[in-house]
Amino acid sequence: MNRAWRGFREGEWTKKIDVRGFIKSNYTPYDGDESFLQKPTQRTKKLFAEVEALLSEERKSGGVLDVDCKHISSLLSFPPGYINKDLEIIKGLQTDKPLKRAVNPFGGIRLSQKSCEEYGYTLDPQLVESFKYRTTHNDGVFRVYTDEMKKARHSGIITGLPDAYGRGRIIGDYRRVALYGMDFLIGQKKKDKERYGRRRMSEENIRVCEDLFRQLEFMEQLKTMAAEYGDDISRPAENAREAVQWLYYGYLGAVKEQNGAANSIGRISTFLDVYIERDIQEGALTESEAQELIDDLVIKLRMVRHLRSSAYNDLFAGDPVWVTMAEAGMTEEGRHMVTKTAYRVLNTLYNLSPAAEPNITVLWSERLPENYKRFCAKVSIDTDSIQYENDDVMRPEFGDDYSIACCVSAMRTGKQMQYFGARCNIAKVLLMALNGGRDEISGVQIGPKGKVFEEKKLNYDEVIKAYDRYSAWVARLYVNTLNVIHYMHDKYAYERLMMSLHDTDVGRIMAFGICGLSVLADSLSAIKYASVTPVKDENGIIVDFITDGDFPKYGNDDDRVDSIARWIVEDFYAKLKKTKTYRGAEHTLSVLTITSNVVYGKKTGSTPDGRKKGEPFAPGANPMHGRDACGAVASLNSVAKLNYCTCRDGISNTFSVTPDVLGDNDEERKTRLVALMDGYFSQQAHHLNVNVLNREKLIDAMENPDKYPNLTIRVSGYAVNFNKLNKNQQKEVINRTFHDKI
Amino acid sequence: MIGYISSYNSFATMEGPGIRFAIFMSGCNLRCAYCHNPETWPQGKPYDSDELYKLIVRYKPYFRNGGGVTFSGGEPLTQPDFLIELASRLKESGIHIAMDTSCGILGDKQKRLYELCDLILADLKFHTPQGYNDYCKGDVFGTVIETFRYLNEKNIPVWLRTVIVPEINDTPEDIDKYYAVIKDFGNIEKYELKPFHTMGFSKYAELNIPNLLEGAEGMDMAKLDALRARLDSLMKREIQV
Repeated sequence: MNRAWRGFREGEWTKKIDVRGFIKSNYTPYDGDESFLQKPTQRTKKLFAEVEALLSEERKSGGVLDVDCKHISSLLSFPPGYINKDLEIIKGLQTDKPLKRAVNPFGGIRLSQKSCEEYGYTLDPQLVESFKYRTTHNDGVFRVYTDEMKKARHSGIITGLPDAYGRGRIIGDYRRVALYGMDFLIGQKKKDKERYGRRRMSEENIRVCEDLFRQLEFMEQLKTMAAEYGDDISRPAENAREAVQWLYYGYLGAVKEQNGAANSIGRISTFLDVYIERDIQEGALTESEAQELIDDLVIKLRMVRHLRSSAYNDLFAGDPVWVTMAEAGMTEEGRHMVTKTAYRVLNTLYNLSPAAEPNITVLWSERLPENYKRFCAKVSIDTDSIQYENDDVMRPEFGDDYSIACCVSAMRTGKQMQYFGARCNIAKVLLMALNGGRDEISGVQIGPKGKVFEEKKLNYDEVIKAYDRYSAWVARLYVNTLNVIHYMHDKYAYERLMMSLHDTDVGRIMAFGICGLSVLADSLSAIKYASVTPVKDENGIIVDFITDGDFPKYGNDDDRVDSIARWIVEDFYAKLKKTKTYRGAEHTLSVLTITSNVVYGKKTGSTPDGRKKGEPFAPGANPMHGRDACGAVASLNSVAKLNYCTCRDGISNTFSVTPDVLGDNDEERKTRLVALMDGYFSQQAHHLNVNVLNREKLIDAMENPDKYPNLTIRVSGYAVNFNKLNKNQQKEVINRTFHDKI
Repeated sequence: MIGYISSYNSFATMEGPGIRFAIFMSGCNLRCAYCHNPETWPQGKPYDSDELYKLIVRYKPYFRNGGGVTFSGGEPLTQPDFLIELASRLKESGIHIAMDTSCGILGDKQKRLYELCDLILADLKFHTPQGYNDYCKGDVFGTVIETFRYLNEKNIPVWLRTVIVPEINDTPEDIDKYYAVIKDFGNIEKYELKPFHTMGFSKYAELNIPNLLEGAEGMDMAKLDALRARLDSLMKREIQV
């Protein structure tokens, strides 16, 4: 065996690319607690202080520190950059300077121009000129878009489409760079090119051959990029430092090339742990040094930046990159995959203070070791920085080596890629159905002409019939629109490096999404169980509703309405599947809005559930805030009823609680949080964002109640829902809960 | 059987260990002046015990690590037949049962109900009959003490609480007297002092119930902390009264 693989248990993985096989034969599960973890070294503290100074400068400059308007971002367009060359263990920045952003106009030159201008920069005229002679992804899409697609996009019934920026969500298997070195990977791709070259040259086969050519070009470039930093990644990594560094080079090349909405790093902690364990066994690495490696990697991941427009920031607040990093979970054979490095990753939230990036995602299973579960709970309580996804529902669908893209989307690492599809506003579909295909805000005819409902009590069956017609229409339009987008993205903005770190015979997923689920479920429930009468304006458009009587509301564990929510998702998924996807991608669906629920709400008229025009939706699959009257767990139970099998791209739920409600001391809090997650996930629920809020967040919650739909707070001896208090009471609570304790 | 319920909370954490499903029974025999839940006094919504049982078992997955159901109120002891039936079924399903009560009623039925519970969250309001006379609808001090004796005899664990109200029971002497009342009961696992607060005041206005403490202020937390420290040392027998 070669030097890089000394001490590793051999298997099929030594002959062909099989990272999963390598991990399974070589990793060491860890059942102990967090007591072995080390604090940051002096070096880390010094380096991180420099980073913090830069971050603070970035904030002061309005969110963007610097933009290079001359060079297009790519693997070799910038010389090596450093934060502090002497202090960095893991090297590599996107441009020549930390936090300096580069332009990436392949999605569309106009958007790049606009983004530069918004931050007071001007895109180099020569660069603009050169893009006159090339087709961007955005150009391609608009050449083909039909009027109907443009209208649907404009009205916001299909929204957030990746037609002017990188689609993202593709996760290269960056571990391959470390395990095999680039030369082996290049050799494999060359063999693939020969293999495909022997096939009949169908359109698809020609495309694959061209894709392989493009991949190979960038694989060579990645080697050059690493060489500029002084590393030879043509060979495999020989120790832990190299493993982290090689893996990061792969990721760095990817984010230099692509500015997609979400660039996950994958599932890496168990893999890296094998190298770290070996070095520790060999006496070459101390625990403190092992933590340094992970701390340094995380510092780098927190510095990934893309140039975005302000419209993008409205949709996705906080300049996120979604460097999602998944860890833990179980193998298919039933061994847990918690290692010491899973702890080390979480420990960065203490060593480097809490942060949103990387987006640490714990793959939860009932069978994870109790020590690890309790440590995760502690990290949630202390930092609010991690999210949880149910490995027990994802493993049967995606095996035991999947990664998470963006927020909640699973895919087999290096074996599946995703065509990201943003979402369809299904609450708006209902309004369109009631208005005979017209947009309720602009009055423009968007969908096929149909009957406009009269100003008398709505009949549930008639409404369902109309909704059925319009949701079928929009589902077909939605699939077709995404087919156009991804055809053009593959053609004009293909992810060469990311795809080179996938199998050539890659599985494709087309990920559709819906927003407005709770609004639609409650609206249909209102029509069914209460009395809803439309109100029209002078143009005959239904602009409001009079809703008399009470009706069951999603979020109270009430089957009467929860079954409607479940049906909406199942029904829409079935309708999407009726239209074929580009390149035979598998249809999946998500109920996820990130922070864009506010914008979607703005673009949607009043709804029968009592929500007024412009008011925000609840985020993701959350019940509408203030409507869950039976406590937070009833609300979780409602969400848990949505069927993951029809929603394999993820069902996002956000749960907020104050530390005091969880308990009087850390042990009680951890116990309750673990019980909460075990309870939720044992019912086949998929995802949970956990917020254990501090004072600052409560103040934020006063201003943005929709962000904290089920925030429960403790007022001395009892607990109340924060949103149900009036402003003065909220202020009183904030003062009381925090000041009284100091 | 039908019981009357004011509300329930599927994520109660103040009412015993773990995650709890708390049922706030309606009706109360005491109606204390400083009650923060006066909405539980009038008769609530009728629930069938079978229906409620089926609702509760849906939450069983969350009851690991010590969680379960808590009967609260109002005063759960006012509806013993209903709760005996419900508790018997919950017990068969292996669900932990706690009851949050003022211990002001004690008959054969209440005794049976107590025996079905795994934990009693008992409220000791005053250390004299006079206190109950002044601020509650009846003097139940004797019954409370009798109940404490009964629970001790049956070895049913008790977590004790007292709400401290400014100028009513907020002196160190009060704490000493409370301690004297309970010091011989070995089944008391915890004794907590809770601060009186004014969060419930708006409810009195909404419900059109006269608020006897109108204008009162919430308990000063620094003062409460001192009383808590005193009680803690008494409980640990660090000081003698």
